[in-house]
Amino acid sequence: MYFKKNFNKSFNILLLRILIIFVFILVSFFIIIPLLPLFLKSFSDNKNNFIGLENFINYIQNPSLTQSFINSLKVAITTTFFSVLIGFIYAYALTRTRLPLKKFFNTFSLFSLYIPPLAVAIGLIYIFGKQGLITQGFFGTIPGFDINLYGFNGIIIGEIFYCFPQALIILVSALNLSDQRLYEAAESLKASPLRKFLTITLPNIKYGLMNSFFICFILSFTDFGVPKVVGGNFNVLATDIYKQVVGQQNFAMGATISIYLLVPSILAFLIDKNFQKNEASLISGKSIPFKPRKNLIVDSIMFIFCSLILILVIGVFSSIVLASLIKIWPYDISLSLQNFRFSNVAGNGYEPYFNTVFMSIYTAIFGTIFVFFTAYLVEKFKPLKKIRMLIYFFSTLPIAIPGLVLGLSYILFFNKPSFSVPFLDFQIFNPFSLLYGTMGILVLANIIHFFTVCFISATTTLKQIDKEFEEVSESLKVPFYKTFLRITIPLSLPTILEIGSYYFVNSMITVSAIIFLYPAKIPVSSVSIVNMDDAGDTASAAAMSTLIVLTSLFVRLIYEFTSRNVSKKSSVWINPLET
Amino acid sequence: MIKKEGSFKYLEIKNISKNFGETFVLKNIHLDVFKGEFLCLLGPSGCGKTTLLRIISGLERQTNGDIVQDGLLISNSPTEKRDFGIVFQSYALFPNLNAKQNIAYGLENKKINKKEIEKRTNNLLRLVGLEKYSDQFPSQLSGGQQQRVALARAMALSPGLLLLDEPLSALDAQVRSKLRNEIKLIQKKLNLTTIMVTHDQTEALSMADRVVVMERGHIAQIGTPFELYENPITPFVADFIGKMNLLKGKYDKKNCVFYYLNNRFLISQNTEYSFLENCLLGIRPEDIEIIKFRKNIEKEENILRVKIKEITYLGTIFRLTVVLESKLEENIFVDVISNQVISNNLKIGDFIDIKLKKEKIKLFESNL
Amino acid sequence: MKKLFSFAMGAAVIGTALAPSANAWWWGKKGSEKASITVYTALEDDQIPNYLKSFERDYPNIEVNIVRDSTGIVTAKLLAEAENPQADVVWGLAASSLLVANDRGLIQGYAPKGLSNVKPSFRDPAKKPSWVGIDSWISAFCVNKIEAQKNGLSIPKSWADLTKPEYKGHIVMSNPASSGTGYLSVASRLQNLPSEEDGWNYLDALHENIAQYMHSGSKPCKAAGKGEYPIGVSFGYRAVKQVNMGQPIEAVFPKEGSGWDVEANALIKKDKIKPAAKTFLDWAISPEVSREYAKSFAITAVETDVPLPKGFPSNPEKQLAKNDLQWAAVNRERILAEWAKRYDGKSAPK
Repeated sequence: MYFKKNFNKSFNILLLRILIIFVFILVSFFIIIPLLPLFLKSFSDNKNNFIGLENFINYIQNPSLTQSFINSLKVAITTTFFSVLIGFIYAYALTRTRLPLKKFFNTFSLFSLYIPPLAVAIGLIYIFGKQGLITQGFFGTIPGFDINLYGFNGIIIGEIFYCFPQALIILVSALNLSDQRLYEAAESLKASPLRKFLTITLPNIKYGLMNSFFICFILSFTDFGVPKVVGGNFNVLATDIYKQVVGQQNFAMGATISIYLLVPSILAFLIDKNFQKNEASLISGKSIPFKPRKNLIVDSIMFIFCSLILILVIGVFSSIVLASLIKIWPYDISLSLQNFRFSNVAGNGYEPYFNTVFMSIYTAIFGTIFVFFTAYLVEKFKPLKKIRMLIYFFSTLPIAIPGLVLGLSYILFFNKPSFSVPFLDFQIFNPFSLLYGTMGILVLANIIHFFTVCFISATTTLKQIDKEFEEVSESLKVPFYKTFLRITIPLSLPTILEIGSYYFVNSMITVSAIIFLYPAKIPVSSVSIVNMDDAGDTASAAAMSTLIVLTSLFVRLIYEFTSRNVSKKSSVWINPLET
Repeated sequence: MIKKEGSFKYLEIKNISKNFGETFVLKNIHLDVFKGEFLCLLGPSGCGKTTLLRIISGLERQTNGDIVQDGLLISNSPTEKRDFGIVFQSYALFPNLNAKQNIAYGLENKKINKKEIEKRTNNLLRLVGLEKYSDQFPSQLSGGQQQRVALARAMALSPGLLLLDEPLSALDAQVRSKLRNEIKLIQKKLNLTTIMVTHDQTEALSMADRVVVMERGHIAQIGTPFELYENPITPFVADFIGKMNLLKGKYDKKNCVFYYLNNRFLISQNTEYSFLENCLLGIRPEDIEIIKFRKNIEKEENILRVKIKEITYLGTIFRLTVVLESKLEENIFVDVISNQVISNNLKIGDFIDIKLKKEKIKLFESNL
Repeated sequence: MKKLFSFAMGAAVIGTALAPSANAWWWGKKGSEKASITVYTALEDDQIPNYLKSFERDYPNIEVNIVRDSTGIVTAKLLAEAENPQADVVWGLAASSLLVANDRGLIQGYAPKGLSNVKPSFRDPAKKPSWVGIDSWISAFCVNKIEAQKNGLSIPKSWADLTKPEYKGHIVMSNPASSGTGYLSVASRLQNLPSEEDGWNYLDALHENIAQYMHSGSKPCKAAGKGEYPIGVSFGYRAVKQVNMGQPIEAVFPKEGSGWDVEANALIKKDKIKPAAKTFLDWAISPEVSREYAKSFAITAVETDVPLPKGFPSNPEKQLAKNDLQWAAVNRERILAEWAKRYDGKSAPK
């Protein structure tokens, strides 16, 4: 017979399997398993006795709580409609018209991504509040106008600010994938502009459109920051959870409402996922990008529309800055920096600010590493297919888990030193409880809260990198981790930087995931904005918001600068991702 | 090294099968590859040729069967433990490494000193004629140059076996034929056992020592290019290697006569045909003669009167598409040298007589 | 890739440079040699630094991590962390909330030094009391004189005045579910009318005039101070402080008497109780710090020689309405549920 090669077992494959299983365990423990104590809690009373569906029944029978559910739906549907509409028109202007100053509009359109929803709401107070610039007609110089900010109106305006850039990003990329030839063909068949729009444009972007509906729905259905600040007595589910947990110490009811918040989000998520499954690229590689033609009427209308949107966005930001600089609005409008002192107001001086900056740096570093490595293992290898598919599914799930729900489930999961095994007198040590009360749990919550978007963008990039690189490396006896470091990472560097900056900015502005979670010893700035607003120190809240926005913008500038350098360096590879 | 080509089996593929659930991709493949041989796996897409190559490389795992390379059973060895180099259709060059770094990629992982790596990389660059391009990134190289880098990279670790997966199909025609010769030369120079997958029969015929024609997961025929062309054993091979007209009819083995509609053709005697009855007659277009202007047609055998349906200019030859009046839907192809068409002023719609050369007629079992 | 690494390195360098130690940013402030205790408190942000001065002077080896939040949040945190308590001490939290925590077994009884100085009504009567008070805070109205004039409103003098139709949409008060101040106002109204039902009827009428229920005790007063709303139902210290800051506010102590609660301290039950925690509790009722309390509050648990702060009614004890803290604690869940059912959520502003 033949000599049998005696080293059939490959160390690399073994290592790979171990890594995949390891990542699987991590995503399970960080995404799925913490939800279990939340579910359990929703079936228990406050003394941890099992009471079945009683909480849910109590909830349905409490008219003020069910009203919140209806309110949340109203907010979500209205916001989604307007955000997608505005996002679509703006995106259309950017991609399909000869909008003047397009670059400017493009850059500044995403400006509101760097303003925390909380800060948007605070800005709105200074514009539309009882003493707001517009309500009082710019300190009485022109007739004022009261939009009745506190309540539904304020929430809707704030949420649109928050959601419209998200819709915009999705729709711009959907609209960018166009084929000039289709329009030329339609023109040669004498199709009217409306017909072209209905038969070419809309079908081409239907997945993007659906996706932006879904994103805006979930964001506005679950957002906490805006209703917290300008909601007045208009209760929504998110503020209810906060009130139940914080005001009434009723964790069981908080958990129950969380389920009511979670279920529609997950449903929306599944519908979208199912819908996107059918997506097949209608645009072939040979398509010619659409080149908009000059149209004076359309271009001017778009210019006016986009300018209005930008004026609003910049107006909100300016009013935040202005509010932070004015001594006592509206009685003493001299400028001063006293609101930046934070010494006698809720929230421990500058400590929360620096904590937040460091939390965001840690999130950016560890989050990027974790997300990219997870995507890499899922995307690039063959072993353990089922487990990799599960990792993929778990990784796409966090976008449907509202921040408050994530925070509440983390607190319930991570503060338990051990778990008792049902029916057995046996305790399992919970190693993750060591994270409780440290910066680590905040970083982890942020990593998971924003995981999906980062994961999808990492996966998309990795998909574009030739799968044969791994096979060639194998044939050259180079272990996968060397190829990962030497080839995959350099090729993905633009995306990696993008993920890092996304993580940083979102960690700076987020509040919902960490408001229940921040350790007493580590106050964070977005929570202190809530506290300052709660305590009535609105000007200081505006000052802290200003700091957050400026920091985010500063980091974004560093990112732009670095990524320009990176792309200069890699320009010799000439778009290596396009094959 | 090896005294004589083909003297010993370098790679043995034994009863390899591969299926995904119920669907068979490969069925009981037996194949021996000799040391220094250039073997082509040829077949239409979906025939399993690439899967077979990937099983040899270990990138894919067979469902059944064994592979022996150089006397070692490697059926379950992981890719990185097998001794081969591979070139993909997409080249798969690392875009962020220049030509030299790409070639040195595998060497750098071995514990070889820098000087030695430098020397070997330069040798390889010279071998593929790219000394001047060592610092260029893949995107700065032409398609042909990229393919040469990929080839050099695959040979860097001096593998015992070179696997080429459609290496030339992304190139344009001129570069392709030039590279064909170069690859062949290098392969012979190094006496490197090589298996190439291709769907292009011209490529296979011009490069390979032996060609393996594959069809739907099994081997249809193995042979030298000449054997395959001259003696295809199935109508599939016959039509895939070159072109062959296939006419369905009845064979009268006693009289060695083949009946097609109401025409009869005389067939050279051949014991292999003895079991045939309902079968196919095969004849290549170049083995059909036009005999329009001859007299005494009645005396000649194997004549058909046909109508010209189409004339296609193919350079040195014309290909005529002709049909029988009684069977308009069945095209018969006839190749004629160009001046014959021009001097005879053949036009679409003309009736001509064609003659099937008796000694060139093949019969095949009909499985249609 | 080098760039990324250098970026990360840079971040780490900045990190270590700015932070006392990199570790501290991760684990939170943590003195390595000093004893350190974590104190949960609902005292006002602008009071704490003054109070702590004497502790820092006398106990330089004890590091105090102050976690300040509103009553509801501090209480929620205590309950949430029941299995893994983070706080060592609670300082200045509503007694009615501490009673709830004690009910869940989260508190370790402790008799601090100087307990005898504390007035009997300001402590748990047990020998090792679960809570010991430091002061009492009382409800008050903050009325913005400028805005009131602009809207043609007279200054309300009593709880009854607040239900007059002229104030419709001009009053904000704290939400009792999240704010200790809000709860004491509600609890006081329910105890001081002939029957609880009359109390609810009063709250129904008040609800008609309320523009917004706010999260914290101080926010209604601050909102009034900024002119966001003319009238805020808040508490005494806040109102007086804002008047003294020069805001156009009038502090109104309602004719019928103010709702009140005791701000109290407690020791958290955990495996290892730090001696420093007890030291802190001893200090927290010491005469010296009590004098500081007295500068902010009209009524303190330990009698001091500090004159009544400017702006409070001359006989503060008389301003207190009838209040049974035990009743307020026991009925807390029921009252809040009833309150939520009546006023929460249905009240979308039209």
